[in-house]
Amino acid sequence: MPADVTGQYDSIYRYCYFKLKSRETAEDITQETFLRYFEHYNCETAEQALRCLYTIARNLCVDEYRRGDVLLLPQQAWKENLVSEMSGQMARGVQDLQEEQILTGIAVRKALAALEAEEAEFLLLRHVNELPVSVLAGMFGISRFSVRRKLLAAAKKFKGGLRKEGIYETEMEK
Amino acid sequence: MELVIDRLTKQYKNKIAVDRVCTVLHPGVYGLLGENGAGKTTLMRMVCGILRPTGGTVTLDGIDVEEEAYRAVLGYLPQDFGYYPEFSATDFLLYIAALKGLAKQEAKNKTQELLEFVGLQEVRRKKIRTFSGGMKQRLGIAQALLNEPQLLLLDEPTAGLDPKERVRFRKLIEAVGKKSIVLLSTHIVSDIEHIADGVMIMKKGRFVYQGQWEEEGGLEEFYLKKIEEERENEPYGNTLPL
Amino acid sequence: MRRKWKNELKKAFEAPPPMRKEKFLEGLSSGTKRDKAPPFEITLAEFVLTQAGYIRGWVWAVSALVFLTAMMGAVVLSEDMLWEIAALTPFLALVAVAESARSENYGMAEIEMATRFSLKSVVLARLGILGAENLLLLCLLLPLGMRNNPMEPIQAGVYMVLPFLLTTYSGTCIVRRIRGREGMYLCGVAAVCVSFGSYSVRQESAWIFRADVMGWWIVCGVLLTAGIIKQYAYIVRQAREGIRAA
Repeated sequence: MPADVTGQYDSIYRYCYFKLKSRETAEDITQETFLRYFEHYNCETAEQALRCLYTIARNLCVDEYRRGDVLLLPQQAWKENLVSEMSGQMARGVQDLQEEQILTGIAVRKALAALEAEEAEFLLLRHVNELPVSVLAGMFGISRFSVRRKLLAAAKKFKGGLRKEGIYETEMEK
Repeated sequence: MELVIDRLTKQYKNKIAVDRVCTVLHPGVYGLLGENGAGKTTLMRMVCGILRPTGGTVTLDGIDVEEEAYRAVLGYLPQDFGYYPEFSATDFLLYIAALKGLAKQEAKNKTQELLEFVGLQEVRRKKIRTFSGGMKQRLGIAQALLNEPQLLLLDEPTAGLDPKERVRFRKLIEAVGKKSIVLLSTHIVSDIEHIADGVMIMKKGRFVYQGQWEEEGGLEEFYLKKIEEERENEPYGNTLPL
Repeated sequence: MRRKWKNELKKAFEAPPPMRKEKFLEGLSSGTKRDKAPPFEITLAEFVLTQAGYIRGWVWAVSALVFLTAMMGAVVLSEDMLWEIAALTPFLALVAVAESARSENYGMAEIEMATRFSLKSVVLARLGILGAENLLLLCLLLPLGMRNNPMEPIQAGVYMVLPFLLTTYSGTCIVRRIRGREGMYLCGVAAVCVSFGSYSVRQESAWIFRADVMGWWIVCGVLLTAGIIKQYAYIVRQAREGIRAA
């Protein structure tokens, strides 16, 4: 198994989980993505391979919505999960996390919950899964300029949300 | 996965360093034992493609040793290796990762992971020239594992390691050997006694034994027995007549 | 985005660990017969750029020093700098030869040979980068050399480049035969001899710089260039075939 594919399994799975909010379904779609990639594609460069993988994964997620297997709309599911995460953290209290870390984590989740699903998707793909801008452009069928514009807008909105929680400015000064 | 070594030979002017060696290896750990000058390092170098054989072939799943696809899944730790003096441990691994074709982020992730694994995380920014022999050896092992190799060749990998590090090393090799082919050339029988799926005993460029060793007695006894048997059977050696 | 916020984002987007990953990947690898290399994660251009980053600082420093010296002399002091530049070019050649032999000199050749890009690519990348850099530098030095000298450009160019070519050729012959520090010291001696020789010949034997002797200089230049190409081709072949590891 080539090393780069193994690395992409976790990233693709994370993306599918973000889209579908179900571990079981996310894993099914992830595996289906890889099977289809190996059956039909023969990408020469890593960039092409990434574009193929994510495009397949995205399309399969859309098919899942249409099939009606996903009970919640993506936006609702995304926000539901964030809320449950926040409650979980508050319930755990300071036993396993520093209080500051908990508050920062909650602030981040609140800021993310205020974003549109597409905005959150862009942040995930670029800053968490670390996809190049060119791959994002290929995936969404838009120009790199548009991708950068959307990323800036999402980041700006995210930082605005953090400022609202009183976290961002303080941290910038440090 | 299958490594096929077919009649591999290396001949110099008046000496045959490796003489028509044949073997087939599947995933697992294999020890290559032999005295000094038996041809172990020459064999290792040919199997990793840095020394051109005089005859014979080496293939991994049908891919020849000279092809890039072979090197893409190869990890190699030479017996002696140097380093660029200005490099720190992190710099060294990132450099080798680039040569192995890893992307920047993947290289950073693997470097961090492996430094942690070999216990060099705390000295990752220090220059290699300040390292002890054991630390350099651990760094060498780390670079061999960067590309998650399917074929891992280690030439005297435990030289300079203390007993605790040796135990850790054995556990690592056992884990790697579950999915990959690991060929370990060593003088230290205890390195492979408990983890090897098979041994190859080499003398004067040839395999005098390959397979699993007999149960009774340790591997060291078995090895000495085989070497002695070979000495009795072949008094003339394998040098060419002058 | 700052790393701190990236880390927080990572935590926020964290998914529960997959349950069937290992089994799936194992099944995939046993079913898939690999008949070609996995795709490169970095392009050749990215690899060459990476190698440029590993070329030692003093290599660029020597180039900068030669250029600044020429600039100071020709522009600031309005001196005829052609012969001084010709005497300095051997040191550009010396650093290029030293850099191309670095893997061997520091015992890294064996590890590099066993990697995917391999020692051959490393050597070629270094030669390419330094060759391009030296070519650019020589193109910048030529007008400076001619600034206060009435010579024709071709003539000036040949006189400037020939010490460089001679040092490169002798350096490559040396590193092919003598490894390690000894080889490098000998290359240094060769560079100093060529530098000193090119400067003092101008003083002692001015006749060989006449225009009617120009043809012989060009012939020497062509022969040296052919010799350098042959030597480097052999060095690259050695890097590929591992002859030196024997």
